[in-house]
Amino acid sequence: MVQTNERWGSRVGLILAMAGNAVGLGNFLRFPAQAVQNGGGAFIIPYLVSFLLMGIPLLWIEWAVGRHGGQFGHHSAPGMMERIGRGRAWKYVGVFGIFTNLAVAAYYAYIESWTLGYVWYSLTGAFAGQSAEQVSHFFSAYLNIGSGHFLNISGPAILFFLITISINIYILSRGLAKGVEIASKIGMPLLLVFGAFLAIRALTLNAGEAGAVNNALDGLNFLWQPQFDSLTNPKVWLAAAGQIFFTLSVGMGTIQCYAAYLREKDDIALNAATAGWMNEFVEVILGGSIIIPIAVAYLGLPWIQANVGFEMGFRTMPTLFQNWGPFLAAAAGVAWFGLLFFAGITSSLAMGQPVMAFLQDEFNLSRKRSALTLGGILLMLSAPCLLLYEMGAFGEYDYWAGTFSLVAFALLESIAFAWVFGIDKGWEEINRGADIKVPHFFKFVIKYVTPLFLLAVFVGSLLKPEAGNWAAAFGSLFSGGGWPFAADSVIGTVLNVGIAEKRWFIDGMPTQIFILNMTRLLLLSTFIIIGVAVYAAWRRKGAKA
Amino acid sequence: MSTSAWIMMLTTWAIVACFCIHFFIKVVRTPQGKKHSVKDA
Repeated sequence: MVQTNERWGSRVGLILAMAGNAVGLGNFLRFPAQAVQNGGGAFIIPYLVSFLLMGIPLLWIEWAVGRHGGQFGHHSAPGMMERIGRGRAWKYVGVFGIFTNLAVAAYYAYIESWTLGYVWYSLTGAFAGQSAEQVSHFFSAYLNIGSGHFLNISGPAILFFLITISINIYILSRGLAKGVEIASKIGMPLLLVFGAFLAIRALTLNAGEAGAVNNALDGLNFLWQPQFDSLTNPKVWLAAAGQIFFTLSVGMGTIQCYAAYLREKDDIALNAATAGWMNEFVEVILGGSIIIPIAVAYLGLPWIQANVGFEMGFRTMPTLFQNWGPFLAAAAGVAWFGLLFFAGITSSLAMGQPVMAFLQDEFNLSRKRSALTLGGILLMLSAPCLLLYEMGAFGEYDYWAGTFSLVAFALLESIAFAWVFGIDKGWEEINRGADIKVPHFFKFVIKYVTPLFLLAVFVGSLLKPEAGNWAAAFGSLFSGGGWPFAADSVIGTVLNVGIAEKRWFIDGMPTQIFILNMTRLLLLSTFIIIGVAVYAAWRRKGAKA
Repeated sequence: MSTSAWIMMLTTWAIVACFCIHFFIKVVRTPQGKKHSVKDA
């Protein structure tokens, strides 16, 4: 194995890169949507409890797993898991840590490219004078959706996607300190400045001013009005735990990879806590203070509750900015889509690094060749997301790689760390070189509470009932009506619940269910191919030894 | 905004901001690898 000499250039650079990995599009688009869909202020308490009992402990686990693996020359999950799990089979659990990054990066880079495209359109005044319908239609035209075509081929979308992939590959090919670290040192401060500008503008919007029909504070009131009765609702708890999970980018193998470039006695306890709290700062304070207050000010609460979602950031926000006059509209558009772009790129770089590390460590590829290989794989894997966006390929990637795999990997990893590697050794690993004293209470949390929390999220995602109504689902089960799986539960997805048309072809044309099943097959094949690559790499090392 | 919403929001913001700033200052003041760890101290 080629031992890499790469190290982080500075501690602040490492923290910004780790925080940049965690801070993503979800901080600004998913968090507000989740909060609105789960009762506003009702969401915050379970969210913070999940952060303390699952988020922070998982961060410590992943930093410890990464730094431990790095001491043996492993900078990607398979080798790390073999060391932690103390058995050959555990390296195959680490396949999740490569697969997830590749598959998520394939669709994530596409969303990232939308933000880059929209920065351009904001700068060139493309939205000036457009009505709400026209701006919404602009988004459909940009992706070439809603036109009845089977393939969503769009020149501008493909162009900005290729630019985005090229920027990512170029930065990654420059290495950790000269590429990822510099990008994070530029991107994160700019993101904070853009976010602060938008949040201050949003929170000072009053009814009757700049076309606003409501006070922006009405949006904040909805978000922060405590509703303590929701604490007994499992749906809210699962949503809050899920959000913490996704926002911290745990269960991906990215944190482990970045931590693997630390030295044996470098601190991880303080570093992990700082990166985690920095992500919360961006999500709770900035993420919660932009899209909801602005949208409530112009569109009202009922509209938000009915329409909140990921695409709202692209379909709605440019229209609302138009109320601020030509200059501020352009500035706000650049700030909004610019902050999303920086949030996106610092995350996509983190997804690329473990794959590159795997190719460098296990197949002796140079940094540039591994970057180019990654670029080639990403282009191939992202093709279904771009071309079959409307047929559901994009959503399948998000579901299986960006949701299911994360939870599965984190669950197995937390069990391996606390129960196979052993909590005593694990605790020693977390505390070695620590710059803060981790409260002893967390030893108990890491051993029992975090794995149970993850198990609950995992089982919850498997069995999620219709409308998230667990009481009604148990009622139906005990009265002989069976378990009503939600269409977005794992089992419901596998069984294609909610899809009426079960035929694969109609009049010679593939149906949505065919595309969904083929996408699943492609993702499964990717997982298996990575597993075979891991097997081949270890066999090769065994032959050399 | 209701009083309870204000209290909830400002308390959460204060907790998040305090931890974030406190830890970040500690990181800036203690360069990696050039410190005495809690364990070593």
